[in-house]
Amino acid sequence: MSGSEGGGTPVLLRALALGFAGTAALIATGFMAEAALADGFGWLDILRSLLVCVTTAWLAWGVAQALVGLPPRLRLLRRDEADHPSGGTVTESAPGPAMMAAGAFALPEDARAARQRPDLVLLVPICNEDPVATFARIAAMDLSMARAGVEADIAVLSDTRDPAAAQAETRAFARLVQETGGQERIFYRRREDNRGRKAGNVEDFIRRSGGNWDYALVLDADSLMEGQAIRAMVERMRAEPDLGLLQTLPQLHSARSVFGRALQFSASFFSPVFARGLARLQGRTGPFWGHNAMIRIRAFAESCALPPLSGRPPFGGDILSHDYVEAALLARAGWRVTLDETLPGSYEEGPDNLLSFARRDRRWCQGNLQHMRLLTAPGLKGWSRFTFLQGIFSYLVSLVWGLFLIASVAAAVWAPAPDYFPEPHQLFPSFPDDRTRQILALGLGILGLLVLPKAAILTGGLISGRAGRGFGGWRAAPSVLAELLLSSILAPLLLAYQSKAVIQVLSGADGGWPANQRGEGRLTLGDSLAAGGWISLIGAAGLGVVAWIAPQLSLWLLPVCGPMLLAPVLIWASSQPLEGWLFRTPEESSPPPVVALWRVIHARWTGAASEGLQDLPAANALPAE
Amino acid sequence: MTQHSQSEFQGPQITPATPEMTGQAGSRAHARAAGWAPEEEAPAHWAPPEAPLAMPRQQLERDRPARRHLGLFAAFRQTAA
Repeated sequence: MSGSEGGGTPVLLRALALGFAGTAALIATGFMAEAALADGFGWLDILRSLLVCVTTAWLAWGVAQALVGLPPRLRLLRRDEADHPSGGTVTESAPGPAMMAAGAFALPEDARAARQRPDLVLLVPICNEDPVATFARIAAMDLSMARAGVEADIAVLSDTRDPAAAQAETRAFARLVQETGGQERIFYRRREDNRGRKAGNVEDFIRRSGGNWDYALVLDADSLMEGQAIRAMVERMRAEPDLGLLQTLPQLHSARSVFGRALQFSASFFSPVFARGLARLQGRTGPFWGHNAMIRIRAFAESCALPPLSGRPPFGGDILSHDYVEAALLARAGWRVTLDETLPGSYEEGPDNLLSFARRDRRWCQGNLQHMRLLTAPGLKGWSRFTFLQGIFSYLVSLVWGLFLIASVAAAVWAPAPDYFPEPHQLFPSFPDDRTRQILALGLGILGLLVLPKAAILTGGLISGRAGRGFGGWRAAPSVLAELLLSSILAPLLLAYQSKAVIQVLSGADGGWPANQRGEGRLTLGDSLAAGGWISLIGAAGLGVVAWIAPQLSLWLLPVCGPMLLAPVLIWASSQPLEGWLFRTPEESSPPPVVALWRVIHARWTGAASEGLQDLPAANALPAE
Repeated sequence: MTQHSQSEFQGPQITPATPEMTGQAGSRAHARAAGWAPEEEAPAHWAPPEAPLAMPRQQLERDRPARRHLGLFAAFRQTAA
C-alpha cells in the first residue's frame, strides 16, 4: 500500500479527534467557570471562559493530530511493486554522466542525442534569490537524478526584477548549463510581468509550456531532493491516476544557530508524527505546502488557475498563500491530494534566527488571514474549508492568548473585595471558597496539552528505536527537553510578533511578499535590540502595571513577561552558533548525499573548494530507499 | 539499506574539484560555452519549449460585493485609524 493508507474519508478518525478537542475544551471551560464563581460571575468571567474554551480546543486539536500520527504506517507492498520495486519506465542504472572531470558532470554526447522529452519537469520558481546557491542545488539534484536513473527536464522560472540580480542569474545559469551539459534539458526564463507572484509564475509556465510534460515537481529555491525520492514520486503518480498532487515532508538541513538547530531537530523528530496524523485526518483532501511536491500538470491546469480577489490587499488582490487554495481546488475537481511523510530525501532550509522566522511568519499570517475570503468559496470540500479555518486560527490564536492574559489581569483588578459578613448581625465570618484547586488543575491541564505530544513522541521514539537512528539515542531526551524549554521561553516573543502581524493585517497593512533572506544567521545585539526592543517595553509595562495594581499576579505573569523583558538578549543569544550533540538530527549525523553534493558544488563555485572536501564521502553515498 | 549508507552503487562519483575551476560562478568561458554573451539578455534558446495548455480561471468568490465579506474588518480598520 502506498503512503496514503487508503483513499477513503477518515470520518471516524476525524470525529474522534474533534471529539477529543471538544471534550478537553469543555473540561477546561468548566474549571475556569468554577474558579470564577468564587467572587461572582461577571462579563469578564464569561469572556475568560470563552477564551479558555477556544485556546484549549486549539491546543487539544494539536495533541489529537499527534496522537493520531503516533502509530506507524503499515506498509503493504502490492505484488507488482514487490516484483518490480524500481518501477517501469525509469532507467535502472545511472547513465554514467557525472564524472567531475574538470569540475563538470555533463551528460555524454550520445546520451543527449538519444534523449526524448521525459514526462517530468522540475520547476524552480525564484525571485531575488542567491543564484549561485540556487543553481548549485539544481546541479546537485541533476546529478542525483542521473544516479537514480531519473530522466527529467528542469525549468528555472525567474521573477527577479533587479537587472543586476538578473545578470547574476544568467551568469550562474550559463555555468550550470555548461557543467551539466544541460542544453535543451535545463531551461531558464525570466518574466517581466510578475503578475500573480509565485502562483502566477508557475501558471505562466503551464500556459506556455505545460503540454510538454505530465508531471511537475514544484521546488523552492532552497529545496533539495534526492533522485531516488523523485523517482519514487513519479512512479507513484504514474501508478495512481487519480492522484493530483503528492506532497513530501521536507526535512531541514544545514542549520547552525541555537534557534535554527532547535527548529531543525523539532522538524526532524516531531514533524513526521504530526504530519502522519495530519495525513490520516485529511484523507483525500491533503495539504500542499507550495514546494517539494509533485503535481499532475493537466489536473493542475484544469483546476488551479487562481483569480485575483476583489478589493485591495491585504484581503484582496493576489492570493498569497496559494498552495492551500490550489490543494482545495484540486480536491474540488475530484483529484486526490496526498501527503506522504514517509518518503525520505526531501529537504529545505529553515530560518536560522527568530527574526527571519518572524518575517516569514508575517507573510504567512497575511496569506492565511486572506483565506477568510475563501471560507465560503463555492464547491469546496468541507475539510478544505476546515483546513482554511485552521490556518486562519493558527494566527488568530495569538491574539486570543493575549486577550486572555489581559482579561485575567482585569478580572483580578476589578474583583470585589471579599465580604466576610454578608448577612447583617452575622456572628462568624464566612470565608470565600478557595478556588486554587480549579486554577491549578486548569494550568496543569494546559501544560499537559503542551507537553504531552512531545513526550509521547519521545517515548515512542525510544521504544521503537527511532531515537537511535541519527538522533543520538538516549541523547534525544535532553534534546527534546531543551527544545521544549527553548520553545516555551521564545513563545511569548512569537506571540508578540504574531499578534502584531495579525493586528497589522486586520487594520489593512499590506506586508507584501518580500523575498526570503536565506543564510542570514548570527545577529548582533544591536540588530536584536532594534527588532525586539518594543517587546521588552511591552513586557516591562505589563509587569509594572500588574505589580502596581495586582501584585499577587506578578509571579503568574513572570513566565510571559520575563522572556518579553529579555527579548533582545534572547533573540541575540538564540542566533549564536551551536555545535555538538544537542539537537542532533539524522541529517547532521550523516549528511544526505544530495545535500553533500550541493555543498561540494557550491564550495567549488564560490571558490571555497577546500570547505567542500569534508562532504565528499557523503556526496558519493547513496540515499536511503 | 541503512540510511545514507555506501552501497554497491556503480554510478558517477564525485572527485575533488580540479584546480582550473575558479570560484567565480558564471565566468565568460561558461557563458560562451552556453551560447550566451554576458552583455546580452538571456538567449531565447534557454526558454522552455512551447506547448500551450489551457488554464480556465477558477471561481472562488460568490457573486456578492466584497464589502460584505470585509464588513467586520472595515469597522476594525476605522477604529485602528
